[in-house]
Amino acid sequence: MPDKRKVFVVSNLCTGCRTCEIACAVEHSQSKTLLGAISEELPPRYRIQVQAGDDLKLPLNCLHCEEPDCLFACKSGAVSKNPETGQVSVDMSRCVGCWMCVMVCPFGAAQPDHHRGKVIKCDLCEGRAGGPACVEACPTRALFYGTNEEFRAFIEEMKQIGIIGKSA
Amino acid sequence: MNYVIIGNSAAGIGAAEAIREVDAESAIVIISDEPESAYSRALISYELAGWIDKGELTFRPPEFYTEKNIEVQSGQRVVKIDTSVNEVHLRGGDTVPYDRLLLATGGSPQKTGVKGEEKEGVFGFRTYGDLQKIYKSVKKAKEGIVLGGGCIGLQAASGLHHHKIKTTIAITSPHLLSQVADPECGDFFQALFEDNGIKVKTGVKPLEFKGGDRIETVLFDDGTELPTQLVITGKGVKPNTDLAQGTKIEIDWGIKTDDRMATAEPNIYAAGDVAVTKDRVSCESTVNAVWPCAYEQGRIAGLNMAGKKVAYDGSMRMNAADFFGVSFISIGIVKPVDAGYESHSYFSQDQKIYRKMVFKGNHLVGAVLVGIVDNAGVLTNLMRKRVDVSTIKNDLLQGRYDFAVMSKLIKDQMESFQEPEYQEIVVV
Ligand SMILES: Cc1cc2nc3c(=O)[nH]c(=O)nc-3n(C[C@H](O)[C@H](O)[C@H](O)COP(=O)(O)OP(=O)(O)OC[C@H]3O[C@@H](n4cnc5c(N)ncnc54)[C@H](O)[C@@H]3O)c2cc1C
Ligand code: SF4
Ligand code: SF4
Repeated sequence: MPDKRKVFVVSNLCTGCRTCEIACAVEHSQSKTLLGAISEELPPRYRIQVQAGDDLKLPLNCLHCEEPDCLFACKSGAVSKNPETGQVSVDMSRCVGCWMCVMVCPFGAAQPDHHRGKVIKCDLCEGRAGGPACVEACPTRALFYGTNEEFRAFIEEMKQIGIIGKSA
Repeated sequence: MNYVIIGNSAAGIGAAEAIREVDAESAIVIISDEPESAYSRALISYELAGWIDKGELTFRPPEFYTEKNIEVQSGQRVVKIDTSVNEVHLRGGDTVPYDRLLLATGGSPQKTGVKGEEKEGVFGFRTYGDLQKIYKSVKKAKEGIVLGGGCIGLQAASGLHHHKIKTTIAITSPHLLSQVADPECGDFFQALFEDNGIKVKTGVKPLEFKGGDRIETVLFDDGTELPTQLVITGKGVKPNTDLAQGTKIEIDWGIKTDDRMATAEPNIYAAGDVAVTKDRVSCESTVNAVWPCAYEQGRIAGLNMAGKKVAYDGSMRMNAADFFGVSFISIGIVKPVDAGYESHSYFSQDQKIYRKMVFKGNHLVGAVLVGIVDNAGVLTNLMRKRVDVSTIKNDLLQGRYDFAVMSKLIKDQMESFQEPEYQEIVVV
């Protein structure tokens, strides 16, 4: 079984504190520190977004879709999907900022970065030793990094210890 | 199995990639009459405008064909399909046999029909070849005219402007982007272009391209005559359906396809700018000549050619662009023609924001976004899935349409949200 790990969301553990957004922005800054990040000329941007509905808080990120609309729509060939890991990545050197992917991503996970004229989306913190920074930073474990099976097991475990209740 | 694909662009590559996902062994031959390896024609305007480096238009890496074990025959024009023996004929006389054939032949710029069209310096804007010819004229041109005020025309004008050419966009319609946006929005872009030094002339038809061998002026029907050394025409694109002549393939402007992208001729499929498909928003049969639809149709065709049974849920009218740092996205039906629709728009000149939503009954059927285009895909998805949006309509009108807002619909309309990703988010 290929190692298709990605970031999963346990929506009702999210308190909306936005720690993940900050961790993401810092991770994608030049200096990789908060203090450094806020003084950078081009402010770093976060890829994960805590979207808040009426009774829902959703720290939403790229889902590295099975059938990625962004890839189908990208007219510069900047988007690719790794067949082994399932990861959908953008080659920033090829991105022309045409927003075709923004137009089709059903989750709003591909966002325009007007400062750089390129799209911005989750890269799973490729190469980062501790895995995705958002997952590590979340104080309430609302984010989970792993395979689908690992995620299901995690959910079961959380249910058993009573942290999350019955299915919505 | 022998797969033959005519066309080495969005639809052709989409098909080849899909076939390889299913069938690693069989021969795939891609034939294209263009000499280049697969390039994105949607990027020729980017190259002209200096937004990307010269030659950086490929949309797959050079090793793509060898890695996928695909044979490419570039610079070869197919002149005939012989369905009695399942062969295509190349211009040089060679034949290529097929078991499954895909027509991904795209479209060609329509002639303007204006007198003097054949003069040097008058160009269509469709291929890398066109771009090379334009480069030669660009050096000598002081003034340029772009006939066309759609996304491509506006990009072409930005391109000429980049080469320090005094550029005028001249259009028959009363405002820019008339096919895809309201007058208000078109006027906003006109002001933006004029602020950036590009003139816009509306409501005029070209009567004649004048000069000797080379273009010198364009005469318009309002009596004005503008000097120019370069004209880019943009009268729309006509599907390249010639090869279907003499076969059972049905043509209605483009090649008619069913929901598996199959034509009326056994074992022959069509996809992309050449194909007529069902528009999933308007439900009409039409050619939606945009990159995402071309790729997706190619993909569906490829999967079916390789023996999978996958239905296409239909194409969609959509486009995205960025002009002088102002983003623009237009999706679905944005200029309703009858009273059965309900439109709402919001415009802020200062903030450079424009937003329009079009509803039909409980469905969102169209949207235009200018300035802020974040989450546009959520709207696209609502249209594509034709879900009832009545419970979130107010949110939409307020400009709140992130996924969290949309997720309210999932529980009630579960049948429309079957992709695995939806199960991954709204878990507990
Ligand atoms: C300047 C420009 C800008 C654009 N910008 C955008 C944009 O921003 N967004 C968007 O969505 N779309 C855009 N488009 C449209 C987009 O490029 C097309 O929708 C897309 O290229 C269609 O792909 P296709 O594979 O169907 O056909 P095409 O790209 O037209 O390719 C047709 C292929 O068929 C081959 N062919 C045709 N006839 C024959 C024959 N008889 N024998 C051999 N080979 C043949 C050609 O060589 C070519 O390889 C733009 C187009 C242009 C020209
Ligand atoms: S950007 Fe959007 S469409 Fe692309 S893989 Fe991520 S979630 Fe899917
Ligand atoms: S914005 Fe970049 S990644 Fe997105 S479709 Fe355009 S070129 Fe591709």
